[in-house]
Amino acid sequence: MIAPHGGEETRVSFRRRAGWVRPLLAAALVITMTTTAGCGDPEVEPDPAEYLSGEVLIGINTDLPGWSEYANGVWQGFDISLSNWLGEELGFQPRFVNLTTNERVTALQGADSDVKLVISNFSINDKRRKDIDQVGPYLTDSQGLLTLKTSKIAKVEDIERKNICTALGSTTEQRLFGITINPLTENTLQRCMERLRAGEADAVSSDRVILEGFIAHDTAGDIRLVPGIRVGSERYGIGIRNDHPKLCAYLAKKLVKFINEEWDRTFKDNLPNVVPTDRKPNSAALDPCEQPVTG
Amino acid sequence: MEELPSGTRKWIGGSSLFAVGVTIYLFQNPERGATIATILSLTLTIVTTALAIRAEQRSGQRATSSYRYSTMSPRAKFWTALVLSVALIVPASTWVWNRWFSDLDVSFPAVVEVSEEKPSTVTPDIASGWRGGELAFTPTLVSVSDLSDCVVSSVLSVEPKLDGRSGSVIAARHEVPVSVNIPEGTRRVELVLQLDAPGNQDCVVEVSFGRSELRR
Repeated sequence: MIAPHGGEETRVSFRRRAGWVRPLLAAALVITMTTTAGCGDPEVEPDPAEYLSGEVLIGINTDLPGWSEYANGVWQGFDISLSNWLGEELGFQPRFVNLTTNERVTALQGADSDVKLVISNFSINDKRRKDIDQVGPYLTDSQGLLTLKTSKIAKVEDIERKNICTALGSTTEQRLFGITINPLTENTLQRCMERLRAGEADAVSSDRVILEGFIAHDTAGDIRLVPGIRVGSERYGIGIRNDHPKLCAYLAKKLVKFINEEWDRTFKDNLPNVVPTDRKPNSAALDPCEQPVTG
Repeated sequence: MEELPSGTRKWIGGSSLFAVGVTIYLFQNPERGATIATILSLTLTIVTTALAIRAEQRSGQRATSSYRYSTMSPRAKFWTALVLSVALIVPASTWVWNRWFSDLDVSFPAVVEVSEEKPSTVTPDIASGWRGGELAFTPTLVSVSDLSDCVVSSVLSVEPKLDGRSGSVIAARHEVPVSVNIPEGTRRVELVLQLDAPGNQDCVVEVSFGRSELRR
C-alpha cells in the first residue's frame, strides 16, 4: 500500500526533474535554431532519366538545309540526327517543335511550354546562360558572310553601308563586324535568302557552317561563301531549362559518346562537301555544367 | 547542509549547458565562430560576473544573520566553482581560439579585369598580417561581352607569388572554391591571374572574390 505522503514526494521529485528539462530544451532549441538558420529548401531537380522519357518535345528550326529541315514529310539534318540519336540512346521519342531563332530561349522558360530540349544551332553564350542552361559544345564555328556569285563583296570592308540580312535573335544579329552596315533582320534565314535573291539584301550573315549548309543543298548554284571572313566564335550546345545540372551532366555524357563515335558520319551525311576541319570539338573538354547559385 | 535555491540551480545548470552547446557550435563553425564568440564572450562575462557578485552578497547577508551560513556547503561550492569556471574559461578559450586557430578575413580588390592576352596581378590584404594557413576564395567571373562563352568554360589560372617567389599554378573556375597554401612566415601575397578560354573568343572577364579568408 502506498501512503499519500509517498505519492506527494514522487510528484515533487518529478517537478524537480522537469524543472531541469526546460533550460536544457531552451539551450537545445537555441543551438538548433542557430545551426539551421539560413538553410533553404532548394527546388528538387527531376531525375534526368524520368524527365527525358516517353515523348520529348525538342525545339528546332525547320528551314535550315543540312541542319534541320522538314521537306516532303521527312525531317533531316545534323540537329535532327543528333536528336534522334539521343532518343535512341536515352530511350525517348523525339517530337520536333518548330521554333524561330528568336524563340529558342523563351521556349525553355515559360511554365506553359513543354519544350524540354532545344537543338537548333544554338550558340552557347554568357547572356543565354543567365536564363537557361546549355550543354556542349557539340560543334564549333565562326560567323561568315554569304552573297550571290555575282557580288563584288570579297572582304569585310566591302560590306560598309550595305544591306546585311541576319536572323532575329541570333548572335550574328548582335555581332555585326564592328563596321557601319545597314542591318536587316528576319525571323528565318530562308527569308534572308529570298531577300538576297530579290536584290533587297547584299549579303546574308550567319554561322559559316549554316551558310555552307545552304550552299551544299542549293540547286540554283548562284550563291557563295565569302572566303576569309571569320568573325567571333560560335559553339553549339543543347539548350535545357535553367538550373538543371543533373540533366546537363546526363546529356554531356552522351554528347561525349556522340562526338567520339557518331560526329564524323553525321556531319558527312548531312553536310556533303562541307569541310569539318576545326568544327569537331574536343570531347574531353566540354563545358562544365553550371551549378545553381545558392544562398 | 545548505543548498542553493532550486530555481538558481536550474538556471545555472541551463546556462552552463547553453555555454557548452555554444562552444561546441563555435568549434564546428569556424567561419562564423570568431565573430559570434567575440560577441558572446562579452555578454557571458558580464552576466556570469554579475551572478557571482549577487551570490556572494547573498552569502554575506546570510552569514551576518546566522553563523551557520558562514561556511558553504559542498553543493554550493560546486555551483560557485562551475559558474566561475564558465566565466573564466569561455573568454579565455575565445581569446586563445581567436589568436591561434580562428579563420581570418582576407580582402581583395572589388573587381579585377582578366583576359587571355595578358596576366593581371591582384594583392589580397589581411588586417592582422599573414600567418600560415590556406587562403580560400571563390572566384566569380562576369563576362565583358555577352556574346562569348567565357564564364563557365574558362579556366582561371592562379599563380601565387609569396614574397616574390612563384608557387604552383592552380586551375580555378567560376564559382568553384579554391585555396592557396600560405606557409608560416609569409609577408606578402600576390596572385597572378590569367584566363584560358576555349576557341578564339578573346575572352575578357571581371573577377570578384566574394568571401575570402585565411583558414588555419
